Amino acid sequence: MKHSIERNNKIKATGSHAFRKEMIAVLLLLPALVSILLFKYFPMLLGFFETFFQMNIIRLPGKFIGFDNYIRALTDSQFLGAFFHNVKAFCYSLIMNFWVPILLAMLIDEVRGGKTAFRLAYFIPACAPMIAMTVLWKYFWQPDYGLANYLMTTIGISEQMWLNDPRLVYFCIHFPGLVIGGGMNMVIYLAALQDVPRELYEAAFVDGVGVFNRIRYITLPCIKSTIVLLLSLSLINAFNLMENIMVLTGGGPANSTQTMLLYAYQQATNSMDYSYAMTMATIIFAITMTLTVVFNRITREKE
Amino acid sequence: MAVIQNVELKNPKGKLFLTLIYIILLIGAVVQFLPLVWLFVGTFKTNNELVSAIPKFLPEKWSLDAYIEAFAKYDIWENIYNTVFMCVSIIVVQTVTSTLAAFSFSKLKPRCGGFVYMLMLGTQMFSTTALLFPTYIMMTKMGLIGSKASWILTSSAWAYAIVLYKNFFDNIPKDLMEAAQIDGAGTFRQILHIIIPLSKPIYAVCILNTFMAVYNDFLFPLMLLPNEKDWTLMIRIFALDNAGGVKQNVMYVLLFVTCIPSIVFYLMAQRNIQEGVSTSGIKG
Repeated sequence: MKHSIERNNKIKATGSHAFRKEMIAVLLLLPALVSILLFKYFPMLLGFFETFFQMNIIRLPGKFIGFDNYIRALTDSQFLGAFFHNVKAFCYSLIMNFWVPILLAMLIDEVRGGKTAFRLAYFIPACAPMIAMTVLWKYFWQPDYGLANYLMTTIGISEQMWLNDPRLVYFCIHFPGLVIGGGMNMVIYLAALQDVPRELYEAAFVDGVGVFNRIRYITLPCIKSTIVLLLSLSLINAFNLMENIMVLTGGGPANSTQTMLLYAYQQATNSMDYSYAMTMATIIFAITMTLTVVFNRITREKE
Repeated sequence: MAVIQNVELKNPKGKLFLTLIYIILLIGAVVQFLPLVWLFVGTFKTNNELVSAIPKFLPEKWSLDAYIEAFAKYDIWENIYNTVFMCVSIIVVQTVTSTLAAFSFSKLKPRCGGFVYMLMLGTQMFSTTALLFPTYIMMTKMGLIGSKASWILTSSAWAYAIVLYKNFFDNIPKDLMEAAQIDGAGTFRQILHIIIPLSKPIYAVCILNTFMAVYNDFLFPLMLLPNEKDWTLMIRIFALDNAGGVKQNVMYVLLFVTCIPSIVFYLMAQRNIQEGVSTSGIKG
């Protein structure tokens, strides 16, 4: 009897202690949780909700119109064109930008002395803010006084219109990523390369495997997960492309670089058509989500 | 020691290979810096020099006129103040909310923890794109458009930082907490005196990431802070570039000024970034 009372008291004591601990734990969680619910989940749901309405900013939500916004988007030739511009931009970034940091990291990893210096040299320019560098590149491509045309005339090629030429504009947008700006991803690849077991190379060398086959059969498989991760990131980025296009061309010439998000932004700010803009943003979100899921599925199956 | 073995470097083919690598990297490194150097040198040129058909690398006369004009004509000090203010406030708010949440997840393990953690992780999939317009509408309804609070509130929690902090805190032994508890330290004392001093590297990474995100962002401030007195440096550049008709050398000064802080910050924390990148695999 006495024992059981003592035990009961003990349970009570630990119970209130546990309760107090639980309370503190929840209290500490609250600020972050409230912020995430209010400023992440709520806008997300609000945006999705409003896609079924003709929005009225004075009296939300406005008039219910069902799927009309989606139908409008999917039959809007400008939006469909913008989708292909996104795809085109992704293809260009694959051809001109994606492999640069991989190659750089491998080259820097081979260097015997001054590895840190090289890493820094490629890293510093990549830290410059995107907007500032984009504006600077815009001056380079300027047809009248830009450096690009000056260099063209010095090597004897006729002057180009660059950003004003629909055939060259994608090249111009992705050119900076070819010569500079690989530094950020280079650091990531370099970190991944450090995890490749060095004995593998040694063993392969002893077995008479050449340098290129060593890269093909040892290096690339070992950093595959990093490559896949950055590839999926670049895919997502390509479909959310907007800021540097906005600065460089504003969607021109003749809408040839207008991306989906840029079109949505223009619809929101110029025509005040927020529900249509949010419909397009939702579609972009759906596309990137699907792509990421499919991408993950494919790579996991291969492994 | 990497793909090419040291033994191979003794034969001529290996030597040639390594020399080639050095040459490529050296040329590449010079090319990397050309735009930045051009930008720096350009700030000392006159406008006519910059827009002439035959550009020269060095200015005829090194002058500070462009700097004087830029700072006199546009309220750059105010833009710098706004930028610093936004960066500092968002960093402070975000660090506090993330630290508390991560501590709770890692050390106190509340019963609802798993669910809330998944809820927070979920926000990592939301793109800024999808959030941009609804946030604007929500802030309009709350009457916060044009108030700096709107931007601070939207960025007041960052799930990625919470994940990083939590993973780091998980490695701090529980015994330390218990010892502190026996000595009578409350939750906040434990966080302040045990957790934070032991987690400096991860704090460096997260704070730097937040700084860069806020410093470089211009879509959210563009929508949320339309008044000129609230503009950050990035919006100033964007607006001037959009308006056109600004003297080139003045613009060069602005571009150069915005480049300095990010480069300095990255240099200061570049070792930490490398660590953060290799542990998390994601850049900021």
